[in-house]
Amino acid sequence: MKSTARSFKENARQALKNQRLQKSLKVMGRGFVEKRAKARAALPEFDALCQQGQAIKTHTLEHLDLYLEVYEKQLAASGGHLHLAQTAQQACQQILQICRNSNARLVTKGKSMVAEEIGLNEHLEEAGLRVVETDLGEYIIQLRKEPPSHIVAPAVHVGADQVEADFRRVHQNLPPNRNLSDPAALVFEARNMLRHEFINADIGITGANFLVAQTGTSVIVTNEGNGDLTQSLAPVHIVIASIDKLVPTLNDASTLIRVLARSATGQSITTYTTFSTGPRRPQDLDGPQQYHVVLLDNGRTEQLAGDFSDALRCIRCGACMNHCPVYQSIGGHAYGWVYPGPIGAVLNPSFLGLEETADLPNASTLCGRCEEVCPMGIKLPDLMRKWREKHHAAGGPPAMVRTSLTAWAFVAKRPWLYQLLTGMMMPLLAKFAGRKHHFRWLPLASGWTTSRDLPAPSGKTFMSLLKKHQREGRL
Amino acid sequence: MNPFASNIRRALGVKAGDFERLEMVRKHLDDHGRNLIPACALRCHQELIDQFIQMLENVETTVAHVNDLVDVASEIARYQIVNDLPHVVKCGADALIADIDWSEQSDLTILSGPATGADAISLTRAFAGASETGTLFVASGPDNPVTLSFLPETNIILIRARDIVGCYEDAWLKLPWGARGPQMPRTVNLISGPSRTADIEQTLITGAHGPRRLHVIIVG
Ligand code: SF4
Repeated sequence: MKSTARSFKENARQALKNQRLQKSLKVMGRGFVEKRAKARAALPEFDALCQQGQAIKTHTLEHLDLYLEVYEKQLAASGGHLHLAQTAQQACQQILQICRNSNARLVTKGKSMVAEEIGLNEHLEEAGLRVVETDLGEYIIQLRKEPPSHIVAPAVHVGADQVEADFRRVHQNLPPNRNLSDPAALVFEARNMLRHEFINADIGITGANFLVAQTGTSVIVTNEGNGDLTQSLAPVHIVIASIDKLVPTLNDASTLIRVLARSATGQSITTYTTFSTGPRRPQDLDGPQQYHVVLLDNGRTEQLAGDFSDALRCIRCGACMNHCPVYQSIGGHAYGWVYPGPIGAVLNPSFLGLEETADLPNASTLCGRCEEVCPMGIKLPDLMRKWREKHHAAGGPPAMVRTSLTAWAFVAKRPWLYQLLTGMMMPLLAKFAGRKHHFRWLPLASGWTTSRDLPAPSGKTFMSLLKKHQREGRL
Repeated sequence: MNPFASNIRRALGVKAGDFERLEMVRKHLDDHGRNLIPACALRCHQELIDQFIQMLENVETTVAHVNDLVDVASEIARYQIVNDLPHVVKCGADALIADIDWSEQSDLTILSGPATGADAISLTRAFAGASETGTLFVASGPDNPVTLSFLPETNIILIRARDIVGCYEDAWLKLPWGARGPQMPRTVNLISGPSRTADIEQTLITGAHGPRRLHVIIVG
């Protein structure tokens, strides 16, 4: 997908003005947050399991070369084919080649963020293949020609009435007067429309939440069953996965599964968790005849050696964006590329370069909620700060920001000057705010004040109040 | 030689054949070590069965517990009548299912083979059930073709009470094991309820692309 991360500020402005989007974000509201909190409370061992999950990921990344070799051996032993793709382009070409080798025309797809990362659909469609997304959320945004706005709930920005309009527009062969007024009717219609696509598909493509070295297995977690229909009915199953998905054993995968759904949707486990190993066995009556795994690097090995290696532990649960005040107010599209929210602010600069994405690590109040809820203990605010530093070191922020920050630093490092100046400013600002004690607008800060009011200072600084109270013997 | 592995070694600053690293990985793979098991998976068997049923009922699944395999056919007939379903099931060659005595259910049609889009009801057998989340483990193969778990609108899963264990780790032990770990069939499907989606306005809808109804029969 083409990045619009460069115009993040403008994207965010538009998102704040977009009433439809604001309504959808409100519907999403605290749903994810409350469900996760409930799931965590129901499992006393949750935090300890997260810590073990982190240790598993760290251990795997530190021995990634060796686990990769074990995985490769086991995959081959089960009759699967491994394709190594250094870049997004290579991965797309390899997948297209597999499709061509079996004269494919129709491709069904389960949800995969890595497929979004490499722009797989565009590549296959340009080559003349028909690609059908089968996850309901992905299906909806495919009809709308939009990218996903959330890594777990890709169509979270779309309202039911919009889905209804899209279905009426696209499903032309159905009676125009049918009732689609409730979500259940929409789900049922999508189910019926996708049935024969599953059955007629030549290729089924899925992602992987984990790759298990011990057994050469790929794992997907889903709720709808579309991933399973995709990979069981087509004669060829292709898995597109990145190298950071490796874990050593089934028991390690089991630990991570315990924290993944609870962090993502608040379920104790998703409805389906599927472990796939090789193609159908000789005596099997169904399942794919070929099983291919396209393993993508796309800069991850480089990341392993650098400042941002911790981000490779990410299991894409989405908790960081669900709890992010910035994501909650602008949604996922404003971030401008595949991965939104705090994890996107950390990942996208490595994929697209800082010049394109410099605003993303700044799209955060560094409030720390993301780090608090990340089951993989990724210090997202620290990593964002690191990008900010890199950007600053590279002469990044515009001159005005740099000059004001330098001026602020000069004052802040000199307490006498700081107190003098703030002491002068406080009464002024308090007057400016009026009787409500809130700024609805501030010169040079309209970016802040258009979407929220800023509480005004009381008219005195903390230091002057402290001195006053000390004088009066109240402290 | 896998070029990714050598690139990773270069990035990590390590050498191929480093004995300590190899040993560490070999040990991790060979001891089949377990990580933390939640306390709820470490109860007595009766409590595990109760929890298994409770967890499944929490996710819109109906559960029947019968004493003996001879009761299965009548339970299936009862379920079909109550839910106004056609009197037909499709199943694979599973030995436990093959032992079901259908003779009392003369109007019930038993089909065998993988599912097609036309099949309404499937009967499969789980080789294990994990009580911690009410999760059924189904292995694909001629005994239980994988499409039976996903294509029909209604899926009935049979499990023996003694195959219900506490945690996922114990469920994996029910597969045949080799030196390195379990011998995996093409797919192992962990199933916890009928298919569902919340993709439209976060509204939970039961019955997405997979089965819209799941009924579990525990035997023994
Ligand atoms: S960074 Fe953490 S919270 Fe965010 S998606 Fe990844 S694992 Fe989940």
